[in-house]
Amino acid sequence: MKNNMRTDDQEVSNIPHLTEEELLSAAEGNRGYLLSKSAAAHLEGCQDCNGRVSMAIEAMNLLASLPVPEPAEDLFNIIETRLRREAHESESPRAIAMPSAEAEVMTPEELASFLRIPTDTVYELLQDIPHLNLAGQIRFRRSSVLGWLDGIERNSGRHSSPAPCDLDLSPRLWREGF
Amino acid sequence: MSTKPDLLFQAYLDGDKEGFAPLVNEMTPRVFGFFVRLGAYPQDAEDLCQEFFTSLMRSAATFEPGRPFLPWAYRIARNIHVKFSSRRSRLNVIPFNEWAAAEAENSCLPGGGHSSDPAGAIETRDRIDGLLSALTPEKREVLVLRHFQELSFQEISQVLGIPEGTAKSRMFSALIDLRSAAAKEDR
Repeated sequence: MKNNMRTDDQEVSNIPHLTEEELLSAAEGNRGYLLSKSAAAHLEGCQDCNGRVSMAIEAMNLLASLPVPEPAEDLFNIIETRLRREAHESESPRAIAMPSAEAEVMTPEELASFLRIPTDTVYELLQDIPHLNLAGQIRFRRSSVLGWLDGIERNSGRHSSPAPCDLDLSPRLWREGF
Repeated sequence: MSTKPDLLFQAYLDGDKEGFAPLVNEMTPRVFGFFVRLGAYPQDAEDLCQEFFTSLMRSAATFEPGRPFLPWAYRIARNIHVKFSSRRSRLNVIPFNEWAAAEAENSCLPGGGHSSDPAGAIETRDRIDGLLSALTPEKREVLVLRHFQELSFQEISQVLGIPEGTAKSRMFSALIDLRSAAAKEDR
């Protein structure tokens, strides 16, 4: 037995061990991957490589024994309803954009038009903007967003000359008819 | 070569913007399975599926006709999951199972936790995670895309933006890690 192993080792010693790519091809063999002749010859005689291929095959068998996650039946309807509504909204963006800035609660699209930034940017900033996640629907409370904006404004002035807030705001208040 | 999802997405792009039902039917089980196998709880995976489809719709204009659909779609799904994971770790959210366990303890309903999981979706997720949590996130995503989502290594390299050879060696070492972890558990 020992002698046999030694002979095997000697036969394969001048061919390098298989790379991980080749070992994977061997393990996935049943999916139609082929090894080069020299790699196949090495594998035949090398216990080390053979052992690793067996381990990979055993791992694949473990994976095959796992259950398949199935989405709940109503998820299809929820998604379709949501997509239908978004498709509809995107056809008439003006119609929703105008009253939205007045609303107490805003959708991402409405917030985007309120802040005059692209909707994608709203999603990028989602981690920073205070928001509500209502069963997957993102909404923004106007008051929270205003508070958040105040915070950003204050921070932006921290390193420049500190100007009193009311002075900063007065021109805008004038323009808005105060 | 055009796969079924390729054709359905093309039909959606060509047709009216409400013709997404066949695409939703085809892709929802795939991306739901993708998110759960990456470790999301069923409830979160459902939210992520919704996010996936709205993002898909919004990005449809940037899709180059003739390019393969699946790698592009999985890239979107994968980005959504990356954002979800970082949001989760940043907010330090209570994992759903702990919340559910606490909820079940407080509940007077007979059967405890099973009342909130009639279809065994959480149990399925936990069985999968029990095995796959032995992997690093990098290896896990390659393994999920290859073994369960059945993408080619060329497609995986497009989804993850890594060379094909890297994807293959990650896949192999993921399989070895899995087997070693399972062997330790048996002991």
